Amino acid sequence: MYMKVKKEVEMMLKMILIFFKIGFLAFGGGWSIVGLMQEEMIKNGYLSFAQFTEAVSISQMTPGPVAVNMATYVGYRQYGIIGAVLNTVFLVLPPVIILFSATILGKFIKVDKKKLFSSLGIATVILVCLTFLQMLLPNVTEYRIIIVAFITFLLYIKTKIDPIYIILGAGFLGAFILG
Amino acid sequence: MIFNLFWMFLKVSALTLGGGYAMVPVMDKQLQSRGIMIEKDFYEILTIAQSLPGPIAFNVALLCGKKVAGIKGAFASTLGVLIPPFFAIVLAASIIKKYSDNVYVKGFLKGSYGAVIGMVGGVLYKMASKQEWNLFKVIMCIAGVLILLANKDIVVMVFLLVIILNYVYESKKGSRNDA
Repeated sequence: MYMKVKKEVEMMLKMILIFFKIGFLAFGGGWSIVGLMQEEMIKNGYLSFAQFTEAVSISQMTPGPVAVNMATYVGYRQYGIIGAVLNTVFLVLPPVIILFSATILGKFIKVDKKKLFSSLGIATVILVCLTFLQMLLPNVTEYRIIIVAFITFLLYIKTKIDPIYIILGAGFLGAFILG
Repeated sequence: MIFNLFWMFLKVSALTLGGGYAMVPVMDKQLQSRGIMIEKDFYEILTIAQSLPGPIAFNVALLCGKKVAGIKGAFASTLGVLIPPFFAIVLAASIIKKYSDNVYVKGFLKGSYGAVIGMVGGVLYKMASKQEWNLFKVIMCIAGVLILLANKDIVVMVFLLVIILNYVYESKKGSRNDA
């Protein structure tokens, strides 16, 4: 009994630490880390690829930041409410830690803010690109999904339509042609 | 004041769909109309929020709370932002568990996933357009993405290396221009 509980706790700790680590890389909003989450979730057996795509859709359609919602979702699936609470808290702990340590560090190290932000921007573009390819590549053979993705892309960059309506619209379309 | 902050962030978080960037303008308006914060302070906070890792809405709440009412304010504001999506996700996860075999639900999630892929492509496009590109950045981006597609275990190293390399490159270029 004791061994079993100990093992459960160790496994839960492992999951929480994955989200904590990923949280440090979440610059420029949540999309930079969704690709990394995909890899970790599938590798560790928390979600299958199909379940991952479901989790992303649900996280985007419910209120709240997508990365936080993903963390909550996976935590809840694996360990119920406790898992959901811990995953959520540990994912958002990194900005709190960095904010409070930056004030202290700033007294000792002088960096050029403009250059730092420009460098952070490049590193973030790489991560968002990774997320995009991770989501796109497994679906290249599904031409209907590619068409939906391409139309959404054009609407997103060319119009001011709130993406949530495009996503919901694509969902209803999917219910009839992909279901 | 503490409760005021909590309640305002709770309301904005519950009623805004579509993630952090949809929430920020609503927060700005609410904070001003309640006389909690002036616009200039809000924009200062927004700049810092974007330079921290983590979801933008969470970071804005963290910084606003801290500025207006210290650590307690930061705690109340972030709690307010996190609670609505938390329960929305727990609810959605329980519902999906029941209906995940339903063809229409599957089709809906698949269709919306297609739209999310397109939207991430759009986010990437906009992010990349904001960068000032040069050959060095392009090469680093392509190399970074390819390396990470092959191996995601070294993501932290790649992320830091890109930042350091670009920072050094820009510093050198800057000093050459000065001379």
